[in-house]
Amino acid sequence: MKSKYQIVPENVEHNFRMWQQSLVEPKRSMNPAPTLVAKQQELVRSATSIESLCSYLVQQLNIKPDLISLPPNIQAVTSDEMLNAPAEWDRYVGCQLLQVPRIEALSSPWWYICHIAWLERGVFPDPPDTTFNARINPRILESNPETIPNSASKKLDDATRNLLRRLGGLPHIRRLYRVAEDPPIPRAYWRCRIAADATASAPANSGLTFEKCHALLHSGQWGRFIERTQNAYSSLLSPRSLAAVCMIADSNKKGVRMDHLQVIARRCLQTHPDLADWAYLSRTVVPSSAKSKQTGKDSSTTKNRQARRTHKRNR
Amino acid sequence: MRVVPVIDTRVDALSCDYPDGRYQCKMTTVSSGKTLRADHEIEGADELKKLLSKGFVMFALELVSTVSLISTLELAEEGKSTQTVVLDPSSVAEQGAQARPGLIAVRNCTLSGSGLSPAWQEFGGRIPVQAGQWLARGQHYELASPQTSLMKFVADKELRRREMRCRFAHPSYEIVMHPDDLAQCQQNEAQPAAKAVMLAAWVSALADANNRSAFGGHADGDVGEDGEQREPLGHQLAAKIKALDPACPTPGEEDYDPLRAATVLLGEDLITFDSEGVPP
Repeated sequence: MKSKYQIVPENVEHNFRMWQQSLVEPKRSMNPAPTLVAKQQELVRSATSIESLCSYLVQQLNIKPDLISLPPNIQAVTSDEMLNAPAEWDRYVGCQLLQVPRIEALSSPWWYICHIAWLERGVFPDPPDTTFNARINPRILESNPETIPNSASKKLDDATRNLLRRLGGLPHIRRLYRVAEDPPIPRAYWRCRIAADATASAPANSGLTFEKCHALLHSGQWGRFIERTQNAYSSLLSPRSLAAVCMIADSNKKGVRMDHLQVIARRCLQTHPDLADWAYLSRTVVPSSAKSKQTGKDSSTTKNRQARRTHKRNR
Repeated sequence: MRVVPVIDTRVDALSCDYPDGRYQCKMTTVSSGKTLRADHEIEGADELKKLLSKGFVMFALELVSTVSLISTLELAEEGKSTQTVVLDPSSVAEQGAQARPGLIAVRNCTLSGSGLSPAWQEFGGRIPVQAGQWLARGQHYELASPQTSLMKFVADKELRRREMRCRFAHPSYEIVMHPDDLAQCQQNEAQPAAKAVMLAAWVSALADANNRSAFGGHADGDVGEDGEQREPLGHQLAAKIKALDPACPTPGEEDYDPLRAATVLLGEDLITFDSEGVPP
C-alpha cells in the first residue's frame, strides 16, 4: 500500500480542513451565525440518504473517483454495531483493515475517503444518519437559520459533531490522535493493531493471545489508555509494555485499570520494556486490599510489642 | 528491581550519581530527515566505558511518536558510539516524534562503585544491573521542528497583494498570502522585507495562541460523545521559547508578550517560508 502522501492529495487535505472549520467552531456558540447553521443543516440533511451524503462529501472535499476505489473492502455493518461496537464485531472489522499502514490510519481525510467508499459499496444501511448518530427532528433541518431556537441549534451542532467524528474525526478541535478513539471503524483498527503488536512482543510462553489482548483493550477504557499514552506515560506505547499491562489485567480478571497502567509505567521509568526481564515487567500488582492486610499484620506485631513493653513496665 | 546510578543530562533531571560523569548525544537528521545520526559521548565514568567495551551495555535511541502511537528501541552496534537510524516514514518521521538517547544494559552485569558519589560507596560491593536498565540518559531530540510544524504558509490568489491573514488550522497556523508575495518571500528569505513578513506572521500566531489557550489553558467546550475534553496544544513551542530564552514568558504566563516571543523564535535560523510544514 502506498503512503499517505501519495494517496491523500494535498488539495483534498486542504479542502478537508477548510470544510471542517466552516462547519464546527472551536467554541460552541449560544447564538451561532445563520451561515453556520445553514451549513450544518446542509450536512445533516445530506446524511438522510447514502446517495446525498456521498455526493455532498465528494463535492466538498473534491475527491476524484480513483481515490474512492483505493480503500480496502469490509463486510457490511449494522447501525447497532456502529453505535455499540461489540467486541466480536470490533475485532472482526479491525482485522479486515490490518493492512492499512499506521500513518494512513492516523489521517482523518483518509478515513473520510474510506467511509465514502464504504457508503458507495453498501457497507452501511440507508439512511446513514442513524449509523453515524446524527438523526435529528426533520423540522430542525428545515428551520430558518435566522430564527432557529437555541435548543434546536444545539441539537444540530451535536448532530454535526457526531457525524464528523464518526466519519473519521474532527482533528481541528480534538487532537489528531482522537482518530483512534472517536470513529468506530478506525477505533476498531487501532485496537486490533495495538493488540496484534502487543501479542507479538510477549514471550511465547506467556499465554497472551491476540483475542485476550483485544478483549482487554475493548473492555478497558480505551480512550483513557490512549490519552495516558499520549500525555503521561509514553513508555506504554512500547508493545511489550502494553503486553505486560494485558498480562496483569488478565490475571486480575478486571480489565485494564489505571493502576495497571501506572505500575507498568513506573517499572519502565528506569528500564526499557523491550530488554527488561518479562517476569519482572509483567509481575502481578499486589491489590491494595492485600497490602493493607500485610500492613495489618505488621501493625498487630507492633501492637504486640507495645503491649509487651507496657506489661514489662507494669511489672 | 534495585535502582542503579545514572548519568542523567535531561533538562529536568537531578543527576548526582557520577560527580565527574558526563553524557551527551549529538543528533542530526540527514537525507532530508530520512536518517537520524547520533553521536554518543560519555566521559568521567570509566566503569561504564569498561562495560561498554565488554558488550554488557550499549548506546541506544528510543524512538517515540505519541502521535503515531509507536515506540521502538534502536541499539548502536556493540562498542560503537555512533549510530544511524533509518526513520520509517510510515511511523516515526512525523509530528510529535522524539528520539531519546542513552546508555542501556543489554545483559545482566555488575557495576563497581568507583567514580560514583559517596552515597553509592556505602553499598561496598558491586551494584547489580539488570538488562534493560538505563545507565545514562540524554536530552530528547524532536524529530520534527515545532516551529515549522506549527506554521505553514499558504498561497491564496483571492487575497490582494500585500494582504495577509492568519488562521488556526489544527495542528498548525496557516499564514495566507497572495501567491506572488509568497513567492517573493521564498526567493528572498534573507531580505528585511521577508523577515518583517515572518515576524508579523509569528506575532499574529502567537497572539492568537494566547487567546485560544492553545498552550494549555482552559478547554474549549468541545467534548466527545464520551464527555472527554480536548487536550491543550503547543507545549513544544512553549518549551522551545523557554529553551532559547528562559526569561521570556510563554503564552498563558504573566507579562506574556507575543512580539518578544516571536523575536526569540526568529533568533533561530530554523524558520523558513515552508508551505509544507515539514522540518527543513
